[in-house]
Amino acid sequence: MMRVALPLLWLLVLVLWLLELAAGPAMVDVLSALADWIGDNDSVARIILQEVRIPRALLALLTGASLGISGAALQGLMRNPLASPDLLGISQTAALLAVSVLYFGWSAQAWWLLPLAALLGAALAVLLLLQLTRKLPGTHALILAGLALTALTSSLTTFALSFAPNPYALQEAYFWLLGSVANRNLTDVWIALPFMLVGTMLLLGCGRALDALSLGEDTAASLGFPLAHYRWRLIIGVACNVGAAVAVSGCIGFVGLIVPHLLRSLCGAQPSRLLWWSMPGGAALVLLADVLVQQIPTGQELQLGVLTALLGGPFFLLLLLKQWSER
Amino acid sequence: MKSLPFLLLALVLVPFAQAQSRPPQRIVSMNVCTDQLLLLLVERSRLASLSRFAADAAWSSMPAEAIGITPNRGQADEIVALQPDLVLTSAFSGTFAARVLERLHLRVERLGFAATREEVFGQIAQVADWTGEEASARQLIATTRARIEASVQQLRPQLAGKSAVFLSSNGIAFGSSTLQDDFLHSVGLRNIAAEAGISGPAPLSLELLLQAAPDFIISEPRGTLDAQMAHPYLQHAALMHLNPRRLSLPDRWFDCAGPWLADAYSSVVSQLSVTP
Repeated sequence: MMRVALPLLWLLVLVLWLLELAAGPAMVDVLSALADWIGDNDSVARIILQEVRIPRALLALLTGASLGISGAALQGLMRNPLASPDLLGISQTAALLAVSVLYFGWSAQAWWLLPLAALLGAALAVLLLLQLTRKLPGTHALILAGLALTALTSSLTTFALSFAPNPYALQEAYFWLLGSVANRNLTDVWIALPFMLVGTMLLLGCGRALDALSLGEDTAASLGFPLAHYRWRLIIGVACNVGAAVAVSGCIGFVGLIVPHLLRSLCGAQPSRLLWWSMPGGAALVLLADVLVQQIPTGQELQLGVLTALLGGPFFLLLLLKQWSER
Repeated sequence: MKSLPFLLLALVLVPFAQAQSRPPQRIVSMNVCTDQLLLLLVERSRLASLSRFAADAAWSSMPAEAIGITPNRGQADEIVALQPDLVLTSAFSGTFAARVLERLHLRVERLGFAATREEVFGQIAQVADWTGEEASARQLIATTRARIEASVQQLRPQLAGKSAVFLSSNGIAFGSSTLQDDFLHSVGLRNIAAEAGISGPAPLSLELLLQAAPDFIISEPRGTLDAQMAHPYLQHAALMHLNPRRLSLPDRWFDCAGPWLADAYSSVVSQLSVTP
């Protein structure tokens, strides 16, 4: 069962990715658009497929996979099932630094400044949280510190955007705080991809260390895992993934929290396996949410974070109830 | 006991509220649209205060004229202290402050939203009626109407049957029931935002924009900072394929009623006279 489940999960991602190509407000025949592309005909359908839908679907997949694996890594690193990029304010700190770079006009200097700023924000947040948990032990302290960080950075982001030079600037706060992959460019994919690849490589290499860490820090050290080394590796890996995801699609909530929870029992609660599984899991969730976002006939398209929370919130509550009743 | 300060305040203010036989002499405006109509129609000496946006070129079409007039932030307390005999505001902004002022028996008048040329003229006439400046308003309306009509005559033959869209930051387009829609129809252009089912200002998806392939995209260029901050929608690679003619008109000419609506028409005339 477990051997086929991971390829099946990737198959689900592929199906949802293709579904995402067919979803969208414009009525476009994807097959004829593809034929135009292959035949190099400059049709509107081809432009919509090539320049709008494919970048969007790629970003949804990449962002979901990054947030999924980051959530799994954070839960292993902090040995806390409630750790996740958005619940602890890591995404929001990344968004604050990204908005600052945009606001001061620095992002025009070099393409990598925006993701780098978001990455630095994410890394700073993780470092701060780790430092705080050392001073304040216990599950609750971490969550409370994360809440404070979320509130602080979200309000600073809104504050910065309220100075922006256009009357619809608060819409941008929606984007940064709730996330969206609508109307993005292929450039955004190229900005995020290198950071996500590096981050994912770093995290996947920590699997066995996370397995050992689940037995306790002392046990992990006695098993020969240099914890300081792996801690840095995990922090940088999470920062690369979350930073890149936030820089191009804002703070998409709940993915990093619920995906590892959903999959934990399926993969035998083994952190190393959970890393691999949370990638397609996150991608599938974000793709599904983005397909749904485009089907709901609202006056303005909903932000992705609204949908992931709508899908994730009730499900997570049910999961919590089930886990507590089993204890 | 709690209402005692309010009672005292009301007693002080009642004489001002009653002096309605002659036109208001201490007028306060809390909204940038009423600010500008007052500056156009009423003597400066009668303006006790204008909103803080009145002197801001980003929002107002006549910032220089507002310099030297006390600015307000639209808070009830500061406006009460100015002892106005008429307070003008928009039906959509500062509603809480306006209600407080009414409870204190101040005369508050609210300006609505103008979605057609006739409603623009109606708003000018309305402010003139509140301030006793009907004669100068009649002249202003007549000249504005004539300027618009002259431009329309020039534009219609060139533009009839073509399509256009007004885009603001974040991909906001202006659909039906907007002044922009009325503007496009008056020169014979089709509004693709209205055809896509948008009413009022709302985001238009890039896909629908590409599919509609408008001949003209009209937007206000706010510089590179805004281009990056407000989703780089107008720089999207897909728009290169579309290659529509770009026209540039400031949003503020449509946000508030005033003679600058005629400037929008004549600006299109002069932009079209230059071959791209």
